[in-house]
Amino acid sequence: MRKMKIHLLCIAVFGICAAFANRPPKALQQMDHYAYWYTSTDGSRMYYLVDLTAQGWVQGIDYDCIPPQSICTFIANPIRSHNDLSGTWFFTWDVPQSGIDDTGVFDMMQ
Amino acid sequence: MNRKRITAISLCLLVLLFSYTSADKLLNLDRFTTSMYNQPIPHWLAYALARLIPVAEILTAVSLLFPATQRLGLLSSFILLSTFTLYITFILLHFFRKIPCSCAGIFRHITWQQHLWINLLMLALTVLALSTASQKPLRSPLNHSI
Repeated sequence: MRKMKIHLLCIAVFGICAAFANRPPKALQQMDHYAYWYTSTDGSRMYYLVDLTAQGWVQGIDYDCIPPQSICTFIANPIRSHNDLSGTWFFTWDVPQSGIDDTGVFDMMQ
Repeated sequence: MNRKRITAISLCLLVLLFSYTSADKLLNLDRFTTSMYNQPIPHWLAYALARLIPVAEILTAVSLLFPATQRLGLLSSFILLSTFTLYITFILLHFFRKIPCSCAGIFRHITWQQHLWINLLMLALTVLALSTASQKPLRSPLNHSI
């Protein structure tokens, strides 16, 4: 640690600052995530991470969460449509009711 | 432009690349983990790599800051960039059943082809810096020290 190239250190700090400035905007409220695997008819699989709060879903009405907070399940209002991260919309009856993150069973949607 | 100057510029670009990409991944760890889950690799490996890659990138960037560890940093950069480049090549050759989305930072806004060209350029700069470093201890023209 005797000698450090100061110009490289400045560049590293600049890189970190640039990444910080480019980070996605933070949600105004606490966010709950619903994550699941989607299996297409051709057999390809896609992992989705849905931000429920930012989409206007209300905890206790549209979904419920059990500790840890990231584990949420849809409980009502199945006719509301919702956008996933790729911009595709779907209804809650399209999403599995049990699986969240890596704790659930992911081969649910055939 | 002489070789020493090109090496110094290579070091600057590599430090910028690894500091930016590692910070971006750690600041958006959820998003990065999701991207990793969408890569054609096993679920457990995706989770592990989502943690290991940013750490490896930070260590590489830090190694490049010190003359004593610069060669190690360049070797680490070579291994990381070679692995990424090989992976992108496999994707572009349709080695996998689907083409996954890209992962992080500025790279999520560019195509896999552009990603490959950037990686090849950075890999070439790493090789150039490594060959200079193996000739003699690196001395940057901007060799200020603290």
